[in-house]
Amino acid sequence: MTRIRLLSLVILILPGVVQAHHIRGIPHYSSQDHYPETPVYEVDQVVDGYDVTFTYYEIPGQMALDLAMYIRDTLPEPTPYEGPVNFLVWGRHEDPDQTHPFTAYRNATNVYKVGWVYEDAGAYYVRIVFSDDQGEHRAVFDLSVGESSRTWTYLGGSVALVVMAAAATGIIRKKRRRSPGTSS
Amino acid sequence: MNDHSCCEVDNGVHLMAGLPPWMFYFGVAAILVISFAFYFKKESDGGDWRLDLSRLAPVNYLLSRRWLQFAVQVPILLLFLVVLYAGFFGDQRINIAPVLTWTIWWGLLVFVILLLGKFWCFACPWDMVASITSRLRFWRVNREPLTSGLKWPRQARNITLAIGLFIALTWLELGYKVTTSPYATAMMGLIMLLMVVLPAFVFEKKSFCRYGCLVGRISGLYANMAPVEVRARDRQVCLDCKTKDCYVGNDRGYACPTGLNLGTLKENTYCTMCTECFKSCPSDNVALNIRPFASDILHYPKPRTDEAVLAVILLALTAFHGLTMTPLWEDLTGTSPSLIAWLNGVFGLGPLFSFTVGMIAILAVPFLLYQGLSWLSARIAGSGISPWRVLVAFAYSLIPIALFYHLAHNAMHVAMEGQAILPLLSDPFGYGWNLFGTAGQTYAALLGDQTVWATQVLLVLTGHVIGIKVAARAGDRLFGRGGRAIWAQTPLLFAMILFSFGSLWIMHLDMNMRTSLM
Ligand code: SF4
Ligand code: SF4
Repeated sequence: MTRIRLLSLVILILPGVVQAHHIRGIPHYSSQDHYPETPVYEVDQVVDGYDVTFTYYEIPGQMALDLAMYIRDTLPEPTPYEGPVNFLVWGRHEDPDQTHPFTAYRNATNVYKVGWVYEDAGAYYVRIVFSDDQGEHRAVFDLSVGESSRTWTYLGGSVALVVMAAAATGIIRKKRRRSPGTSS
Repeated sequence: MNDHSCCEVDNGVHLMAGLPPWMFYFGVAAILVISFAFYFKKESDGGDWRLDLSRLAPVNYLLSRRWLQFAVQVPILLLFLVVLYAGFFGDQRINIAPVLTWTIWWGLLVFVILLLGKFWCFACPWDMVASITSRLRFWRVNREPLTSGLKWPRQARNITLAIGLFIALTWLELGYKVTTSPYATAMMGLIMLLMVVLPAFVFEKKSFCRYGCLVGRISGLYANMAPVEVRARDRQVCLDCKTKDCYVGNDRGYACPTGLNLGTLKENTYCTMCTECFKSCPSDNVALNIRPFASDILHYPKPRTDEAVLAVILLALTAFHGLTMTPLWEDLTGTSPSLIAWLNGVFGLGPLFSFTVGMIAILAVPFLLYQGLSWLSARIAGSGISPWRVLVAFAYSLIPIALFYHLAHNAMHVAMEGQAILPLLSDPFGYGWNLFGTAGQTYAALLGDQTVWATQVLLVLTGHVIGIKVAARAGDRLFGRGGRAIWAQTPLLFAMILFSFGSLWIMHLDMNMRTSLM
C-alpha cells in the first residue's frame, strides 16, 4: 500500500520529473537517439498495426526511470501516432487496478515519456493504452528497477548459517565422544 | 473457446492458443469411451518382466565407482550456480535464470522422471552440497560424517512437511510470479539449498530427502510410473542377510540415505537411485532393472494416507498451476474479466489475498469432491469399509492423471518456449554479451501448435488409461468384483472422468506464455 501511495505522489509531480531532463543536462532524445545516454533496454512490439518501441533510462542515484515509447504505424513510410497514451506501471505482485495511470502526450520528437519513481527494486510491468478510430490498443512491457541491496546479506547469511551448523555439529560430536554412554 | 492462432501477441501479451474445439471434444469423447472400455475389462497380470542392466559389464563398472554420482552432479551444480549468479547479479529484466529453471529444468524434469525415475535425485546439486559439507569428502566414504545423527522426529515421519512445502512454494511461485523473476528464482534456489544442507548436519542419513523434500517426494510418487528401478536381484538373499550392509553402510558405501531395506523394497517412492547399495552390498545382489511402465503404481504394495493426500494435492495443484497461466485467471492487458479481478472486486484486499483465496478454493474443491465420492462409494459398498480407506486406496489412480497432465502442460512450455534458452546461452546474465552469436535472435518454437495440441491430448488420454487401470485394481482389492462392487466403484470412476475432463478444459484455454513476461 505504501508503494501505491508513493507512486500516486510521484504521478502528481510527474511534469516536474519529466522537466528534470533539462535540469540534468540531458538533451531531448528519441528512442532511436541515445546520445549521450544509452537506454538500459529497448524492445519493439507490433500491436494492432502499430509498431511500439519501448526504451527506458536509469536516473543515476535514484530509484527512478524515464520510460519512453515511440509509436508509429507499420506502413512502409511510418507515421507516428499522435494521440494521448495512458501509462500504467505496477510491480509483479501488485494489482494493476490499484495503481494510478498517467496520461502522456507526444513530445517534439514524437516520443511519449514519463518518469516514474519506485519504492522497491524489482521487476515491474508497464501497460500502455492508446486509441484511434479502430478502438483501444494495449501493449504490456516489462522493466526492472535497481538491484536489491540485500543480495549480499542473503548470501553471507546463508554461508554463515551453514558454517555455524557445521561448527555446532562438530562441537556436539566432540562432546559426545568425550562422554560415551550418551546416545543420539 | 478461442480463435487465436498459436502464440499471437494479444495486446502485447503473448498467448498460446488452447486446444481447438474439435480436439477438445474428441478428447472428451475418448475419455468416456476409454473409461468404460478399460474399467470393466478383466485385467491380465502378464507382462511383468525385468531386464537387469547392471549385468552388463560397463554399467556394472560405473555403478560400482564411487565417483560416478559426483561426476554426474558436477555439471548440474555448475548450472545451478549459473542460475544463482544470474538471478542475484544478472540484469533483472532478462537473463537465463527463469528460463533455465522453470522452462528447461522444471519443464523437462517430469519427462526425466517418466523415463528415468528418480534420476534427478541421483544428479541433485542440493544433495551434492549437503553430502560434501556433511561427509567432508567429495566421493569417498567417511565413516564419521559431520552430523549429529539425530533421528527424524517420530511424529514427523511422514511426508506432511513435503506436502506443506509444496503448497507453500506453489503459493510463492505463482502468487509472487517467481517464474518470471530472476531474483526470486535465485532466492528459491538458495532457500531450497539451505533446506537440504542444514538438516544434513542434524539428522541421520538423508532424512530431509526421505520426509521433507518436495521435489523428492513428488518425483517419488511419479517415479512409480517409470520403467527403471533399483531392486534386490534375489529378495531371499536380502532377507537371509545378517549384516544388512546396504541399510547400515560399510567402508565401500554409505547406508541407504532414505533407510530402505532392499529385501522388502517394492516401489520407487523413496529410492533416490543414489547407487550406494550397489557399492555396499557384499553379495552383489542389487539390480538396476528396466521394466514395463507403471509397474509399481499398478501393484502398489501398501497405500499410505500421506501419499494419498499428496496424490490428490498433486492433481489439484498441477491443474491450479495451469489455470493461473490463463487469462481466465489473470488478464495482464486488463481487457477481459478474470478470476483474480473478480476476487479483488469481492474482497478488495489486494491481489495476493485474492490469489491466496483462489488457491485455497481450487485446492479444496477436488479434495472435498474426492472425499464426498469416496464416502458415497463406501456407502454403496456397505461392507464396513471406511470412506477414508476408499480415498487412500483410490488416490493412487490420480497419480497417472496428474503426471500426464503435468507432462502435457510442460510439453507446451518446452516446445513453445524452450527455444528462448538459445539467445540466453550467449548472454546468460543479460550483460550484453554475445558468446555464441545467438544473442538478440529469435527462434521459432520447437514444435508447431498442431503437434503440441495432439501431443497434449494424447498424453491426457494415456494418463487416463493408466489411472483407470490403477483404479480398477484398487477396486478389485477393496471391494472384489461384480454386482455391488461395480456400483461401489462408479463414483470414483466418475471422479477420474471429471478430473481428466478438467485437464482438457484447462488446456483448451489460451495460455499466457511465460517468456512473454520475462
Ligand atoms: S530428495 Fe530432494 S534434495 Fe534429496 S536428492 Fe532428491 S531432489 Fe535432491
Ligand atoms: S541405497 Fe539403494 S535403495 Fe537406497 S536410495 Fe540408494 S539406490 Fe535406492
